[in-house]
Amino acid sequence: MPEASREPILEIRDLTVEFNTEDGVVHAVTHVSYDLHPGEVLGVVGESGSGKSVSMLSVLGLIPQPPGRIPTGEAIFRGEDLLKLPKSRLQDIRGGQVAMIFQDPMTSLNPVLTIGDQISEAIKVHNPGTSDDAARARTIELLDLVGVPFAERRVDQYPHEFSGGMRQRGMIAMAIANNPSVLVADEPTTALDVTIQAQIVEVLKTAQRETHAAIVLITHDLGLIAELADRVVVMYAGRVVELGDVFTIFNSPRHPYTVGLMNSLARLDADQERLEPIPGQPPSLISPPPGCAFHPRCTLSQGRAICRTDVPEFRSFDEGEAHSSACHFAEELGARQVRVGAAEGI
Amino acid sequence: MGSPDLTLAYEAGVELKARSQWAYVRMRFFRHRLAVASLIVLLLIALVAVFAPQVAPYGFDELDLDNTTQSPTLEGGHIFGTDQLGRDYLSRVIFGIRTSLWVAVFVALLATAVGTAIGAIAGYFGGQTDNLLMRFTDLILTLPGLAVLLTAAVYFGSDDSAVLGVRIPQPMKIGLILAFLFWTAVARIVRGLFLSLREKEFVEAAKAAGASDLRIIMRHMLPNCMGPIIVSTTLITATAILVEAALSFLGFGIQPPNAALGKLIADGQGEGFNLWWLVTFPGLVIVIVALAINFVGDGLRDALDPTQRRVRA
Repeated sequence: MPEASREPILEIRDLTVEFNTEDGVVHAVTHVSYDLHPGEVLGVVGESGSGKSVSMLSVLGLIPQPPGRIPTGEAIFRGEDLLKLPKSRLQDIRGGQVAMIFQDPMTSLNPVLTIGDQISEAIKVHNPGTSDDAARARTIELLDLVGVPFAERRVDQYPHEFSGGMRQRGMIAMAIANNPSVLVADEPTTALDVTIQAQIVEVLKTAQRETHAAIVLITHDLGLIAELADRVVVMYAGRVVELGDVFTIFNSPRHPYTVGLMNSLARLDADQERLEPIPGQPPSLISPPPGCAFHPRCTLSQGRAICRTDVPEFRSFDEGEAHSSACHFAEELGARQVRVGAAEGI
Repeated sequence: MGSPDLTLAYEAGVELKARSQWAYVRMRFFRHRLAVASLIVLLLIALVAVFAPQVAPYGFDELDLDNTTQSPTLEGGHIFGTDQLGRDYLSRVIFGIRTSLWVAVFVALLATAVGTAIGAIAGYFGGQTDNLLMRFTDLILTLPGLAVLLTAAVYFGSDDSAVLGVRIPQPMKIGLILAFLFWTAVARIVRGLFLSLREKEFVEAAKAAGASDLRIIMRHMLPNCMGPIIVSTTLITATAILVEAALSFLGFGIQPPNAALGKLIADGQGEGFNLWWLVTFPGLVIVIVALAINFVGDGLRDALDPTQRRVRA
């Protein structure tokens, strides 16, 4: 995997996304910043509703406005702010240099068009001069690449003739059709069963080898993160709570929420009687708790006042800013082992 | 990563027959016997209408003053009899079908095209666009149909005269007036379908792939609405035939010398039961055509509904 030290290809700065609903304003994403470096796999983890998908969808202009709103933020891709681009320019970039893989391959393919039609369409939209034959040849090549057997036959089949795993391969083929430099995979394996998940991970690796794209891997599956990601962004209640490379995040997390995530993970290499869930419920995004949004569930806070009053600053723990966390008492987590910490009731 | 089982299956020559959506639609439609029979009847009638000049034994205004008011007979030339001027009634009915069907198909196609366009735009863009277009649709719907039809037919549809400098044949004018009232149903159906399709993930996926609004509407959403659109088009055709007949019967529809089915009934009704064939034959044709179209529409609705797994007897 390439080093993540070059100029970022996508810089998300201070992104805030809100939705107006009947119950009030939902603060889906609040002051989120992170960088994506060329060729890396950036895992974005968090539970449902933590804003991990919304942050990427809003960057691509895919959230409906209204009710959605983006009061602050920029997303610099190759010197252009995606949030300020005119619609036509954004259409060129979507599916071209920035492509997306969706969660549910069962519903993300149009039932009335053949798989081949849909992939060729992605090619032709971005390369208007392409002949039908050339697009078809490229489509078959892509299907072959993502491991769809008998690509020449299956290219003419409809989505309902594909299994879930095959459809997801088709979606990946469509996403990499135009050699994107950024590939957003929004929970690419969530809708699939476990054996198929493993295959799709392989396909994603192949896709990255082939296109050298930087991948934003949005998931709540820490196993998938461990398998694929170079760096990890942990999100909670619409904010980034921790950011670091994958080894650091897994070995010495500096945010109690990350610790909680690790402890709630079933592991084969540890003798676990039961899993340690994070107590409580995710907060309401309409009226998030004051201070640190995690404090009602936090075992580290232990009722300290600052957690309830001040939003913790996002601080870095080393010179290169490679590992940062938003916790007032991150130092207390130190380099303690996650398991040990759990045993002590953190 | 080809799975060995599938490879074996292919090598053993086991052909997994791929059926497209349309193959399933055809299959389901052909199981609906009444619809198939109706389709055959309709096709025959349509063929007769298209080739009226070749099929009809006489011209529609050819007089035979020696044989006026002849009752239907298999002997001699006048199977449907003749009218008061000795015109062969079979020929008049055939030309009547030609005019009436032509108007009905014109109305159905135009109403579908306009309704689909308006419904699609309203449903896709939503918000103010939707509001504006749908309130306009509501406005048309609140018009008292018959009154508008009669008024428009009198002031604008009674002859071949030019409208805004364009010369429009009189039957087409009647078609335009009918289409003006009929597109609203299609618009509402298509808007409703678009509202639900708009939220589908494959539409979002198409957006994420860089497809433009027009492309998403034309290529991803409209094909998913074809079933209900086709069905409503067929049903509009049937309604158009009936309304056009009613209009012509009242004397406001198709004007002579064009023969239309409703007009034939109107001309024959004064004679009451003495010349029964003047009313019966065109009336029968109207009933058969309208019924057949409705059956075909019924069959199409069942065939195009993928959730309909029931096999028709």
